[in-house]
Amino acid sequence: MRLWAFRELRTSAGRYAASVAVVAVVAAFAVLLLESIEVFVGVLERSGVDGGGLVRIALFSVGAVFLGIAVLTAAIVISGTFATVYAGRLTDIALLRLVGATSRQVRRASRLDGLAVGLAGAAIGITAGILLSTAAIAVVNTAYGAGLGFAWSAHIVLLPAVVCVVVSALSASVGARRVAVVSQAAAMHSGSASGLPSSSGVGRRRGWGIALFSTGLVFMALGVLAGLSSPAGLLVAFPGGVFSIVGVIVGAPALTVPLIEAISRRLRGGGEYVLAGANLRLNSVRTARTVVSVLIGVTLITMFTVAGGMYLAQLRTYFGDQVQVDQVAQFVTVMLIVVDVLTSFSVLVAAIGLGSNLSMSVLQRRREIAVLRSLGLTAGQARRMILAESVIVAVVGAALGVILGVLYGFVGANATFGIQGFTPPVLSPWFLVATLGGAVVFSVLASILPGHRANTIPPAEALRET
Amino acid sequence: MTSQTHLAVAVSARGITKTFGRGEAPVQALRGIDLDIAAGQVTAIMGQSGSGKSTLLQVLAGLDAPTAGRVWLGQKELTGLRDEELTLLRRERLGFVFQSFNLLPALTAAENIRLPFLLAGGRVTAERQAWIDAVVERLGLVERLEHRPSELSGGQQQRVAITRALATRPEVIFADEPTGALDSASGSEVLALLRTASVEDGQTVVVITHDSGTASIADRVVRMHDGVIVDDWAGGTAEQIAQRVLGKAA
Repeated sequence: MRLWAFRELRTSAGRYAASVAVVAVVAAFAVLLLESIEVFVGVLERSGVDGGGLVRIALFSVGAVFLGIAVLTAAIVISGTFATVYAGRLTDIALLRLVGATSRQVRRASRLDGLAVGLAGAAIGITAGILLSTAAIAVVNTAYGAGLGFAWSAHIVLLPAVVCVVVSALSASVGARRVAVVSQAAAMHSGSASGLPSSSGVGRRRGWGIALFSTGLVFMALGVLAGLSSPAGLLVAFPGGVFSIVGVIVGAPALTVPLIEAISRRLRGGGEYVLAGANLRLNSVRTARTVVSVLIGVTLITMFTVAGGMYLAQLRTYFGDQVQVDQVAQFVTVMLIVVDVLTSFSVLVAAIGLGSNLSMSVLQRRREIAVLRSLGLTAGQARRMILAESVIVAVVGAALGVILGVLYGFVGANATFGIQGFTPPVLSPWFLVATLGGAVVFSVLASILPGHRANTIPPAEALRET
Repeated sequence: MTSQTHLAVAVSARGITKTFGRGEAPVQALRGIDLDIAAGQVTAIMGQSGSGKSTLLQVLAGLDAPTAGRVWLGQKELTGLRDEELTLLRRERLGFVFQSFNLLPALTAAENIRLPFLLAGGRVTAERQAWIDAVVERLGLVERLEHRPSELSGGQQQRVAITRALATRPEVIFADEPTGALDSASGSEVLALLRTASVEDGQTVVVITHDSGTASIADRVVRMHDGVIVDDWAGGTAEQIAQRVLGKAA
């Protein structure tokens, strides 16, 4: 089994590209985050502005939470990409089960895949993170003559490496779980992934989703209350955030199906749009997985924007009466850089998730597409079908993401700085326009390659025996 | 072929060759095929796997271009058409029945039947809908229209696929091993339906098969071997066909 796992990884490295990319992005982000905390703490200690240590506590809780968010995001996206990869290999795996591989062996093999993905991603990401941190420090130095140096510390490298490898191995195993239990009999049937036990569990998933989300809300409320007396309230609110987002992911098929249904029923114009809607509805689990990858990215962006705006306002009041303006400016600039990096990280994660899911869905539907082409779906219609799927999914993901992001940003900011007074969430209409517009633009771009790939499938493939 | 000259020609092919691969070891799947398919008849193209019958079907049905030679559907030449024109031509003038049914899993039986019209973006005319209803009735699918393919038996799925092919009243229906994935009872039923379509509605049908039972519904049997036509006769019962095939092969 071990050999199989590694040989698979070598021969189908392209399938894992999305997972490796996400791990690398997370590792780079973790390095950058740890390094900026390190540098910050140094600045604070030298300047002595943080008399009460409030900023230090805030910094550590925010740092821990940001890291937690990155890890959670990585876990969600990696298990998603693995689930997609394994769904595409259903026939292979069923065949392995047929010749006697146990479900445990399949999962162990997937953990090894995950381990390798984690190692590769961590190596790339940590290198990139160190380079980015060095560049960011240089930027701050030239802009403000700050004279900051790179603060070397073993945990800057070790922590991201360990986290990435462990998280990838576990998420790979989780992602492969549903496929590992696939029956031997499935090997006898032909290749499409529709053999997965997909929509049957939607009802149960809805129940779990609601339970987790409600638990999360309770923790977040407690966090905001605790935040009125200490910045550590964020540490109470964070598990609430984790519970609620896991709840959203678990219940995603139940949540997204009615939305997709409502949107796709309104589509007029051509058969390709009807087909797009039908595809999204049929594969409700795959659709939900794609929606989640966009949702995660948009949630992060919105959360950082909302919380970032609120933090900065609070920081200005906190520092305003104590120190000179240039030190505040420095602080704010670095915070803004961190928020920018977080935003790009989120956009990357969303785009990778959307693109890889679309490509996989085209791969898995090769035969269906060949059938449609032989029955008269033109190349242009095929492209528009994939495009419509991409845009619908992205818009639903972005809309849900904005709602969640506002909630998390609001909770996060108040749980950390509530002591300074309760702040309502602020969101500019321009942000909404930019986010939804961005989601549409990205989804159009993400559909180009899969759409092209769909048209390279020869219609004659519909005739091939399975 | 002379016996068919008085019939209108639905599909004709001249000098068709098809070569796969290049360089050292190209595979010649078709080596010079001349064939006229008579309108309103069932023509069976027989051969073992590797004989070139599937490649010939792809070329005749505009699913793949020949390396050399020309193909006509009625008066319209297929060879040299752009992908878009070929696609529209398949949609409007041809029907397909596949071995593995190839219904779209996302659509109900009724939606699968209307798929060609859905792709064309037009509404189904009342006259056309009446025709579809009649076919659905005849094929015993009335109760099954709202089912998804996964809820239908193999025989039912193939009947839906045949309805889909008949719905547009295409000039030619190409059926590729239509009984290959069915038990013998469902298989005979499907063959009877194709035969009926030809006899009662004058539907032109081209069946690709290795099975003499399937070929027995044909008015004419064309046997292929190694990329060329080796036999061409008026068919007969399954036993007669099997014997003639065995005799020739020996």
